[in-house]
Amino acid sequence: MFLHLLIYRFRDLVRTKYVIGWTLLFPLLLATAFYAGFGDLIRTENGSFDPIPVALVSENGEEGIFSQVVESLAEEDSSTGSDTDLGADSGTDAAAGNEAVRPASGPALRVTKATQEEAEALLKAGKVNGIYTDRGLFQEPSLTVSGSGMDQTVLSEVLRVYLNDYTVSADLIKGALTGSSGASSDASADEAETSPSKGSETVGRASKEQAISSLPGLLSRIRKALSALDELKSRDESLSRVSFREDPVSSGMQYFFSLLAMASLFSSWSATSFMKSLLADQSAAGLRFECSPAPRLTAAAASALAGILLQALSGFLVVLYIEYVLGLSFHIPLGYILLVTTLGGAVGVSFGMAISTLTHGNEALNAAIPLTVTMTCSFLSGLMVGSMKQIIENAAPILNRLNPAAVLTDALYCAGTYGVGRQYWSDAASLAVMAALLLLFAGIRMRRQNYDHL
Amino acid sequence: MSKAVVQIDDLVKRYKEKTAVDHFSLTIREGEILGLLGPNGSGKTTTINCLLSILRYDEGQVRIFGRKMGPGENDIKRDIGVVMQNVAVIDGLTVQENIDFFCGLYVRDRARRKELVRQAIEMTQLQDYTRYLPRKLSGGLLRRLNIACGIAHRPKLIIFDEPTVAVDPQSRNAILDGIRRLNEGGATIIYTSHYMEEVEELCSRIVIMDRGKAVAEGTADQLKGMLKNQETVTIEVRDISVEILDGIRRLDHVSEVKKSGEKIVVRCDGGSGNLVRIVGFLMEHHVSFGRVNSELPTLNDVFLQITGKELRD
Repeated sequence: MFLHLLIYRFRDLVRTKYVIGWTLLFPLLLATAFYAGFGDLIRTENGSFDPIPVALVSENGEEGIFSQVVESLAEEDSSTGSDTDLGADSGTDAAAGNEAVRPASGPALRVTKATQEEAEALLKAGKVNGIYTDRGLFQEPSLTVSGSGMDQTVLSEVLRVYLNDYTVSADLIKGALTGSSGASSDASADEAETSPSKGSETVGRASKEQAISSLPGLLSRIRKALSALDELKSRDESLSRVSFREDPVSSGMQYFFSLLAMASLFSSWSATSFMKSLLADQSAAGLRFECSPAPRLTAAAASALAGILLQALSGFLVVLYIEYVLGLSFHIPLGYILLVTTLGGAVGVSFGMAISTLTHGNEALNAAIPLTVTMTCSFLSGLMVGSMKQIIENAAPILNRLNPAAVLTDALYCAGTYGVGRQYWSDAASLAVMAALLLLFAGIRMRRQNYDHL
Repeated sequence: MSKAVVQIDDLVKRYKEKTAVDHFSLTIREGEILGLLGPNGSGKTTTINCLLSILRYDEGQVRIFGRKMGPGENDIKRDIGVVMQNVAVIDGLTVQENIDFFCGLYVRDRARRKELVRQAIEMTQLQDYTRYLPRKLSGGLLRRLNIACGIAHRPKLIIFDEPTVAVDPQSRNAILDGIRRLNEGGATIIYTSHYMEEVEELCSRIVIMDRGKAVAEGTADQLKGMLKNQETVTIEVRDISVEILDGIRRLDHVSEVKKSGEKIVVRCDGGSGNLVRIVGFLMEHHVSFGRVNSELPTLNDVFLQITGKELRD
């Protein structure tokens, strides 16, 4: 019975024009439109990235960790390598942080060391887009920009990410200085350890020569410290991310992630379509079905599986189209993309089923609700405005946890940016739970369904 | 007497203030073709839906094959076939797939199902259309597909709810022939319609419904026998005197004579040879006349007399 229902339901869905239109053709068209709009941007970001010109002012001639970080961002294969992780804690923040830093194989920044006056002149002349001021090892650095734009946002994000880790970094560096520095810095390090408030003064008192001679060791220790920090983070249960990948996903791919989310949720159309022939209040075919001895829940399960399989197939074709026809890489193994899009499809199908148990065959509602909900969820996940998810994350983060499109795009973004890790599996589990709850609701409604009127 | 296949006792179904089925009782015996006749809104379809336990009802009891019917009575459902008023097929499946799909809800054995589907296709004469999707079929062919989907599993009780609505005469005849053959094959049939000719032609017993109640029950002849007027003779005449009209009134079995323009309408309350007697009287009195017509009563006349309105109102 189950197989009989599954086979015929799948055939029916495949031949239902509007279902195929919404779950396959519309996403393909939209992908093509996005490609026309963002294709160049994505290819540019994946290939060469123009470093952002920035001035670095070392106040009082002191070079703190921040200067090292900024300079490392100006080097080939530096901060983007696997030994540095500048992100924040949550997956979404991490995604935002990564988007801003835009790690690539080339340098992210073009640094000009200058005095405060020179830097201000460069900024005024438009030769740099910002001024980083490093106030020494244990003082917070600052950023001055003359306008707003993507480059300024990137510079600001670098600083934000740095400051986020500032306290931990400082402690670790102090530890590193204490443990392995040469004789010339032992006293200073000891003093810093026993009296942290005096640490800055101690380093500040060191002579210029001493500072220069100790720089290679300091850099090494900073790298070790940052490496240790990265290791600590990767061990921390609360942190889900792993290091940046060598070939990270472009920020423009966000639109394609949202597109896949939208295509997945459009499977609610499949559900409202097959539910029409399962419930007596939806259509004559539904009435005929309810007159038969076929168990409702078995039929519902077989139909849901057919809808999910169709969605998996549609998702597969859309991903292949984007990857191999449009030539835009998701940087995620195909199986992992399919897993989350299929789970998204399961959410869509179960949502459509739940709706159908409430609409009593109202065709207008059966059409309008899946369309409205899918488009709203997709919009909030960044389908039309790339920063929308971040805006929501700042204003009402719970919405991003409840919006299946946002969860799905988060899973894909994290997998594409950091590899398949804890955040990906957490998002996949969220989608599975959403689908299960909606299916449970639809199942209970169907089981109890009795009609007062038809 | 054959056993009761359907037993409906005192069924009441209310939609808020309106009573759609009002203390309706009915027994249908094995092998019968029962016609449920009534105008739109008389409660036929609601009664059928209550009978099938699709609709909740307020009072009464329904027994099918001697057992109480309920939504979960799958063993009872297995022997019931339903042909809906609206075409109830899956748009994305071909003719053959549709029949196989619905048959498969009742019959699990694939080989047996294949044979049953073949027979259903043959019976509804859809052999040339098995690979067609429903949207490619004409209205008549769709109705035949609708029937095939309802009867393929060879049910013992088949409910036809207005199966010939909007069907061309050729398809209508094919449908009625098919129903007769199903009945000859042993199926008990409930046939609802507001087409009295079909019901009269097909059904062994007729129940007339109005406002949720059974207002008359019997064979077509029994129902027509309830009428006072058994024959209406209409004759075209130009000039006819009052004396001649009085003379017609005095003829045997004539109950009423009316002059209406250039026609006279004579109603008779039974007997035989009324037409010959009236025409003979006119010739005898040298009254020239044109066209002559004699009408026997119909179920509509029965309905009109009982309820005061037409069946198709």
